[in-house]
Amino acid sequence: MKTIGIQIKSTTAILVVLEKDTNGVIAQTNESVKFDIQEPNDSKQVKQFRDQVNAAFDSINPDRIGIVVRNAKAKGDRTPSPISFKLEGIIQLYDKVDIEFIWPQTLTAHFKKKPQTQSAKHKYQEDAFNVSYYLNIK
Amino acid sequence: MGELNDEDCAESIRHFVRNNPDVTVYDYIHRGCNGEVYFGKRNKMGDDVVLKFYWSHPNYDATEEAVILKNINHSNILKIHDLRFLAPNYAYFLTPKISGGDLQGIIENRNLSTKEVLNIIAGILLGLTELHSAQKLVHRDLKPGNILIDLAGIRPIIADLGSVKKIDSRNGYVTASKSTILYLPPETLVSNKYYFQSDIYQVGIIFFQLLRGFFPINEPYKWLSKREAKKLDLIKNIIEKENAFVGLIKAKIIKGNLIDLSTLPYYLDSQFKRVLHRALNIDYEERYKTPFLFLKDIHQLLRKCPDYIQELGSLRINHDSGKQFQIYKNTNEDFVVEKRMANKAWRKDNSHNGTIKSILSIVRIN
Repeated sequence: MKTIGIQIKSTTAILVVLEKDTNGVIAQTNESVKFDIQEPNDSKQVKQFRDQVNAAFDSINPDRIGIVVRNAKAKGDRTPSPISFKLEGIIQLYDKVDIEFIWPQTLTAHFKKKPQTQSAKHKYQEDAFNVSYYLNIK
Repeated sequence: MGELNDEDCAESIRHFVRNNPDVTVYDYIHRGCNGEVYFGKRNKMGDDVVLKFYWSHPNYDATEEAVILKNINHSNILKIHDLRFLAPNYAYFLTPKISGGDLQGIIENRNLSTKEVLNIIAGILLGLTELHSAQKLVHRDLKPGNILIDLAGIRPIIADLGSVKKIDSRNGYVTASKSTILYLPPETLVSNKYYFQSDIYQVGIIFFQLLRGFFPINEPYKWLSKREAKKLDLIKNIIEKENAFVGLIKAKIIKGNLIDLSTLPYYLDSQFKRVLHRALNIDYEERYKTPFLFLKDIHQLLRKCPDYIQELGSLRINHDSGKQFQIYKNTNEDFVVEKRMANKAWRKDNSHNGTIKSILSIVRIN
């Protein structure tokens, strides 16, 4: 079982890839990566982002892909960047595996019942790691 | 059917193309070790096609690869209409004819701008992603001569799929193909193992060649040092001489000395070297693990670096904003820098101190 968890932060999509081996051990692979768009109004960069994401998904060949839902109605510091919705839309267009949306509350409730014992290789990958882990065991 | 001038071609192939009820051939090119190529028109479909014949071992069963290749439908991989075996020891691909010819022909005829190069490499990597990921295939013979260019949009198309092989999932490698020695990755010479990252190495060489690094493919003796050339000159037997030459080239590949990044054009940003260094690492495990990681860095170069075009006697630098620079030498052999904004006249820019380092620091800023 191979899963990709994605967190979109501003203009960057953070991908964490987890793989469960035949003994049931889940480990983060070195395919984890982040992609960004520096100029969201530049069509070339938008297409490059699309190509990078699609090539990564094709290459990783995951069983499930999930994105952390960002609350579109959140205010103040938590307001999601409008560009993040553009990135989300591009990712959703991938048609070989369904893109699942996972609410942060779902993850919190799940890990409350079954505490998380592993963590991401890097701090910034934490939310994407949790989505990937959730998809891998659920 | 006119005169094909294919007398040197094998009799079985000549007989086949003349008696094929589906395709009327009208032209022939002898490609030496790269196979025999015929151009024709499909009688029912009316489209132009290419028939490429390879030598094939009579016992080699390529059924699995053939079926996979036939089902690939990707804009950066040459569509295979058909693949068949022709007794006693040939196989042929039937493919569409592509407008721009191959990349080797293009680089021999004109200088590509750096952005054209980057877009070509990006397209090759997208095609390679399809081969590597969905199909678990390695190409094993990537070189400019095997990349076709569709002139509509300068789209690169990976062709010449005769060496394609499925990677053994238990080992993660297959044996190397007998492709052009200059493109063979070090690991194939050391252990005869060909990995996914071996294809990455070959794309790295194409990238290096397109950027005009030192790669004298038509005069390979230029790779030799004076001492090596002198030593070779002492060998009188032609076959021994050729073998000794191949041995020297192999040694250079294994040591990573065939590709010298310091021969890249002076104006290229240092990021180009970093990307090439990673793609061409002599240790396959230190290379980009997958084409998409290579692609990501190619896209970074496209975003961060201006477009450099080497023209006769001058270098043109174009920024996405429309700002342009040109550098050339005047009659006193001093550098001259000119700048212009979009649709404006050229004006001299004298804010540099005359050194190329100072000039490049100015022209690279958007």
